[in-house]
Amino acid sequence: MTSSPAEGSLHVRFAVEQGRFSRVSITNDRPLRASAVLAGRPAADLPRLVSQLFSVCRIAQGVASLGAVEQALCIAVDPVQQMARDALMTGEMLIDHATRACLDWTGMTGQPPAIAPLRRIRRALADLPSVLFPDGDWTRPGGGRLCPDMSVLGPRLAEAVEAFGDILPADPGAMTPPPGDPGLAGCLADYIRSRELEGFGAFAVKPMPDLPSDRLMDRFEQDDGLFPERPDWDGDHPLTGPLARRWEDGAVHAVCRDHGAGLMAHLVASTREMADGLALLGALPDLAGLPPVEGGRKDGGLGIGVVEAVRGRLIHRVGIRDGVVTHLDIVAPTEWNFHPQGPLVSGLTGAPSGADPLARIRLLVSALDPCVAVRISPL
Amino acid sequence: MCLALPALVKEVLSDDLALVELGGVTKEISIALVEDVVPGDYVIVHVGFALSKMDPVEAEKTLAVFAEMAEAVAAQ
Repeated sequence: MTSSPAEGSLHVRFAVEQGRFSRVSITNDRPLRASAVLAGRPAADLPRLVSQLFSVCRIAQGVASLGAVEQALCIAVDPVQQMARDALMTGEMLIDHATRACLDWTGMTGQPPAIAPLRRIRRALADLPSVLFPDGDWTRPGGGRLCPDMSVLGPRLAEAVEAFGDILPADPGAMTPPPGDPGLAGCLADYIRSRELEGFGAFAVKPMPDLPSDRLMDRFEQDDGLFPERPDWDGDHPLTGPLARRWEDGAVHAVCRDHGAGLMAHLVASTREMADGLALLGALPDLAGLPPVEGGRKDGGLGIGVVEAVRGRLIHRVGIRDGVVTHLDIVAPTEWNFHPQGPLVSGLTGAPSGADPLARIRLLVSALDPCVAVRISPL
Repeated sequence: MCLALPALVKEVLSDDLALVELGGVTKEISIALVEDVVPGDYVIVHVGFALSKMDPVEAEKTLAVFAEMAEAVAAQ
């Protein structure tokens, strides 16, 4: 995974003693304050701009920004609009999971990239925003013109479900991919089993708790503004992402009971999330809703928007004065999971390093799914 | 944050590969996931793959904001 010049990277360094990872450190040179350039722009444009700039998870970024702007300006959004935004995020989540399965999982198990299913999935789901919001205005605070073309949506979803058949277990009721399952999840599960790495990377995990807006607002004011760079919650470094979201899922729970919250638990959580995401989109009701809300009750204030992006909890805090953005802070999932005392470091420290320590680190890094390139080298 | 720069397609190669200019650097990427890519298109690149095409006007606007971002980061 190579980085674009502007996006920065993570650098994981490790030491091995007596067959175990004895020290692990992470440095992060991502441009976390880059969002400052959005100050001075009209608040109504912010969600659209954010979704353009952070375009790998553009929908989650846009929806988090919408939530922050709408809270700051006291704009009440129709629940049907919110349901449509959730559907867009589900579509994006499915594409991102599929991308990881088809490009990363295959690479780790020695297979070529699975281009055909990924191409089909992207073709089916990538323009979901324009299917639900034909005017392309889903980033408008208050909501866009919601007019889904169900005649397009149905066949697209059918194609996505079929293409996900190359990734998910053949038996949709399987709690974990069974040995020998031909799907990409099954291949990765076999790879993990064959190396007895089911529990690799497990640590005393705390899944991300609810983060109330009022406490988040306080948290942003502490630590001289370091919260976006090195987030913690009450001193803890919780896990965020699919495994944290699926913590109560029976299949995930069973794997954690047998092996701990390691590689297999991450894999099962991701596969369960893909299956449930497809089911959720398949059961989508008619989303033709009320007209969008025009304007807010205020022209300034502070607002927080919190969403579950595919990689985990994504938080935006925006300040607005006279309809203009004064500041924007973003706390991204990568900063939680790749915190210097966070899940990756905790999961690796003390774990058996095996004959190929780099390969083991790559597996756990992939399970935690950073949104930028990661360099790995010995200390 | 998953920043993604629009990359300008300079040359389409065989085997679904292309040369793109990305932040002043020329690199080879796969265009297997995107249909009908031609030189002059802007694409969004992630992990070495073009994920989508981008309207040229929007791409230029986005690049301008990225340029501001780069200046802001350099000034920190």
